[in-house]
Amino acid sequence: MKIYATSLLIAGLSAGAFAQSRTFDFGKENLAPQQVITVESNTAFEDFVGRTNKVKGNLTVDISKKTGSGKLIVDLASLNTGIDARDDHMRSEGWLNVAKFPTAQFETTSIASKGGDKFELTGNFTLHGVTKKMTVQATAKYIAESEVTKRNRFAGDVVQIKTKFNITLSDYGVKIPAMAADKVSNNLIIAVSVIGTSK
Amino acid sequence: MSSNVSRRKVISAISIVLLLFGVVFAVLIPLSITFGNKAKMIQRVERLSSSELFGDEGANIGAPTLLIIEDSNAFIGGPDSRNVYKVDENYLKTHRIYPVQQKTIKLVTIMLEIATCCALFLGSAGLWFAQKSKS
Repeated sequence: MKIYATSLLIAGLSAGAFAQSRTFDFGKENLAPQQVITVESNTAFEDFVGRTNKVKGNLTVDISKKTGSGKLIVDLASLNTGIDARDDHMRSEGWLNVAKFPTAQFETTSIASKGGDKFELTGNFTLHGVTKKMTVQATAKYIAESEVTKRNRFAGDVVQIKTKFNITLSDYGVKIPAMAADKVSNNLIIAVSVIGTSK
Repeated sequence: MSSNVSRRKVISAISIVLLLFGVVFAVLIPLSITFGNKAKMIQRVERLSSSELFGDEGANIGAPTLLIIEDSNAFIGGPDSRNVYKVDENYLKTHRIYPVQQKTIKLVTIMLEIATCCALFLGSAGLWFAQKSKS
């Protein structure tokens, strides 16, 4: 199966962490090795995890209001489950139809701080051409530009966003073929760990 | 008459082969169970260069799963309070280690049990039929 992914968004940051509004880019090429998007399927016979590091998007944070907005776009065609045949099936027209719907995305409509580095993100999740409102819990960590960030080869301030949520494929018009029903779950767990930089 | 004899011989031969398979499958069942019992609850973790920056161990790859990994160098320390072991995803990739799921071993064990029952039953039935035809 292929799955492209998902998107996400994010946001939040501890209030005092930002001295001003900042925009973080998740799509820079040098950040790709840091991006981990996984899709997990668990069935009675088999579990598998598909993953990709191809993401785009950005997050803009307003410090004084302790909020922001953002969008995360995931390339579903690059989703890799470790078995080529399964990847091909996932990408095919009968499943995710990557040719027609090459990405999944999450775009926030609101971000609420839950204390510390915890945030509640509400937004629209789009998969397979279907968009549904979704609320997810996320953690966001921020590190201002410093010698440490430079030593780790990050440009500007750095933000790390992590979240995990469930989706039901049939809600998005994706039907699992009967012959694969024992091997691919209709309920998938999507986990996101992405890094964004301000420069 | 001679065709009955040759048919009986064929049935006997097939029955013996089935019984032999049944015995082999029966021997494999405890081996499969023993192998499956080596599984530990494992969380695969991909260490990233950003992990150091943010003071975490990296990104989890999937949820904790019962896996069989026999290379002790792949483990990151001992089990946590939930008895979950962390395993270095980069090490698995570098050393081309593909962990076997306990779930898969259980499925194989069930198939072996079914195959054993079928082979022994059909083999015995075949021999009985061949003997009955002879008499």
